Amino acid sequence: MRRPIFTAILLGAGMALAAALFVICPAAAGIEAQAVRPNGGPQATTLPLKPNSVRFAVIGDSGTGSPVQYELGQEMQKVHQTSDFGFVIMLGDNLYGGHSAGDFESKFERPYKPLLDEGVQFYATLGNHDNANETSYARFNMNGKRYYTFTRGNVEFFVLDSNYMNGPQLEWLRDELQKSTTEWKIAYFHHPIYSGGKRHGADTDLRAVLEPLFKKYKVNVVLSGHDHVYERIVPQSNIVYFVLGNSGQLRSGGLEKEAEEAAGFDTDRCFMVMEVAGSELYFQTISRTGTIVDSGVVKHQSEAAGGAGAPAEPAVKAANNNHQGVTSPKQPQQ
Amino acid sequence: MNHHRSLSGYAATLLMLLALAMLGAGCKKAPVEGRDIENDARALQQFNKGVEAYVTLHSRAEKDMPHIKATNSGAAIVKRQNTLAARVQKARSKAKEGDVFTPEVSAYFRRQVDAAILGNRDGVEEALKAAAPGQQKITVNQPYPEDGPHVMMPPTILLHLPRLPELMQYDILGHDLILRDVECNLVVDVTRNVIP
Repeated sequence: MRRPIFTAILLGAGMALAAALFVICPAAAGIEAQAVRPNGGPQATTLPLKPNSVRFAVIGDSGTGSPVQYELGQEMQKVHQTSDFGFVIMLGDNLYGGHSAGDFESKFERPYKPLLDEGVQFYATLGNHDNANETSYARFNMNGKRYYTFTRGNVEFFVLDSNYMNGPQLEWLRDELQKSTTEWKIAYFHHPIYSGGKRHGADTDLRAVLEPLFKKYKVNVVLSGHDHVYERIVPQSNIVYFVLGNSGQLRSGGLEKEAEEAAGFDTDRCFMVMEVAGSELYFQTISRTGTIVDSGVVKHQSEAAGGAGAPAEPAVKAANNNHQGVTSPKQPQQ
Repeated sequence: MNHHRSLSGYAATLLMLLALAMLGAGCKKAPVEGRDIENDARALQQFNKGVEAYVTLHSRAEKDMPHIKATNSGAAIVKRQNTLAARVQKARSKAKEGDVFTPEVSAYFRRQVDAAILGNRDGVEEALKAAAPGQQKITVNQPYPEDGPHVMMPPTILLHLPRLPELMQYDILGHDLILRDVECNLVVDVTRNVIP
């Protein structure tokens, strides 16, 4: 007799918590729910952490060698202990300034030493501050190539060099997308084709050549850096875009509130953790101080469509802070 | 009367300006529609010959240097780049601006850039804003400055320019188009005022 009552209380509490976390707002295209929470999110990693899922972290514009880059590296290590992401994707500007032997150490090896020591792999793309010879640096896993693919579980990653999007690269991308059979296709490169960044913003010339391929071959998620802020874009033509260019650099207040922005954070450094479990992609964006500033789940287009023939718009269920982001205790500028 | 004359003067000036503007618009289109194909082919051939000559020189310079596909040593990467750069610089000690970008080749590139911009004016112009000239000084056979960012080559322009071997890339700085050896980060050649 006591067990059903206990279960009902538990269920009720769960629903109340869910309602508190996800405040339903008027839906923009493709967004099922969007929440605005008070400043300060949970400190612990709460991804589903499902068995056999593909888990990885994301950093962009990281290679400054500044103390805050090291602090973010420490926060990533903490999160790694609970989420056990197997690899990190780097969105470019991996090494700012000079490219001496010491720069590889101070701007990459030392900030991420705990992760490297635990066998975490890094997969880099080139940014506009990078030297092309970084492709030969084994810890960036580029194997001498400006653009490449790799597959983990049901996800194929398409790593592009947006500095130099020439004919051969576009032909290669088309061929690779055409023959890809994985459920999820994630592309990443340095220059964003959608961005509310005040400094750079969206590169529409790059968009003109990439977006038709992404649409045709049903790319699910696209990640870029370059603008030194975090931003999640309202799905564009069924594709979810993220900008993450503040893992080392920061342009405080560098976000322009635009209609395309679903969430933004521009007051501190951050990184992302993603988990692809079957037809769902969970994401959390975590600040240098360990606060989750944006999180949610992207449902695979085919799943969100509710069957064949229906429009394949990805559903993004998200809980995020407001446009300006949370106010961190310390706000180091660079 | 004077007033009348000045009005007709204004009208004449206006008409002249209109005519000039129309001529100007015609000129803009000329590179695409009224191109001298033989002239273009000759310039392209000349450019490819210059690029091939450079690739041969580069290959000779790295003849006994092992190619690094992947190393954990940043020092090894830097050392290879510097050694190769020193060898190429020595082999090209007499290189000068215009060796590859001859006047005929530069004119061809100017036409190609104009044609590209006509294809996507807004996108290209937006991308080129980032190419504002800085303090960086570009000199043939000298390293491309590493202290500043590279400008992303607008794909629309890139798709209008002749393809290059993997070891070479085009760069834009201000109004200049640069041909760069990316393996040793040296400026192979530069053509000025090609980019509007």
